[in-house]
Amino acid sequence: MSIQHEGLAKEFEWVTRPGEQKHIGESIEKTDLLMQEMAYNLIVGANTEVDRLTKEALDKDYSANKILDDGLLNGMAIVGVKFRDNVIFVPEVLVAARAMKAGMAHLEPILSASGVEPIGTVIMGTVKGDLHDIGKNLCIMMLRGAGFVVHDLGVDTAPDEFADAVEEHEAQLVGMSALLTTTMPNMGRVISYFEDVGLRDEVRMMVGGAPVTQEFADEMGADGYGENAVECVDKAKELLVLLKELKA
Amino acid sequence: MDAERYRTSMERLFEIYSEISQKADEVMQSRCPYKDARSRCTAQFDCRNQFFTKDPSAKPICAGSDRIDYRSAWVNGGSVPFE
Repeated sequence: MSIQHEGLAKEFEWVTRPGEQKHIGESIEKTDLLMQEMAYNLIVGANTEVDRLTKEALDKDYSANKILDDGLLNGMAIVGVKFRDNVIFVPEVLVAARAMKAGMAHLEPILSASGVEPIGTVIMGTVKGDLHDIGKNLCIMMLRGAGFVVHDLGVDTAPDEFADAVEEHEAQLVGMSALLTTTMPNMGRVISYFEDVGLRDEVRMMVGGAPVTQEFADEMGADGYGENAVECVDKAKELLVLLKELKA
Repeated sequence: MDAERYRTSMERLFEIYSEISQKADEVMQSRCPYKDARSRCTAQFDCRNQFFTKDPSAKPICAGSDRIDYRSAWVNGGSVPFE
């Protein structure tokens, strides 16, 4: 059996390391055309197509496991290879991650019904006055990959928007990002706002961004600081445990 | 839904994302992260390296050389600082 989907077969040509060719190739070759089409659309970041194909697969009684493994993960494995080999860059990775989310959104109710709950809920946003979002978006991708539900408030986010989202989604964690030294103090203003409206003890607040340091995070009263997306996930897990212990 | 198989799948996804994240940290040292594979700028803010073409719907071309620190070119336009 070979890769039936023409576009996916072409994308697979980027996979050149023998071990990966075998591992990813075998994983794709055992899938049918619908799953291959899903993998292809994830790679090219066509989130509406991934959304539609996931719905179609569920209507045809494909299991959530099959959709995740054969469609979404096979696509993301090729995205990872293309990024590592400098064929694509961060923006393309992020649109693929958005397509992954579009597919996962249909699987979440099934997971929940099967007793698989998210490990926590996080509100993420770039603070008021700041329009930089790459670091935040990488953190969101990683948090979702780690099993968190993440609500992205985007850029230029006011303190009340963070607070409203926490209440609406009953989030345990807030993640704030800033890239500019001029907007960095607005993270502290969000924390103050949470104190003013009586929400500060309900959540744990994380900060990050190029100019942010542990010292600055401590100074403004944040609970956690992550230097990169991997640290962001570690910190989120750590803070969630502490919050649960505190509330127990 | 096989919960155990799902956990294994998510571990694989997290592994892929972790490798992407580490590579992103490395790439961002020398290439603007907002620049896509076609050298188009995907930023929501202004940058002095953005070169707009006649097509208003097209993303601007990145005219940055990547030989200098690209961050000094970023302009946080279009937003009023929070007071």
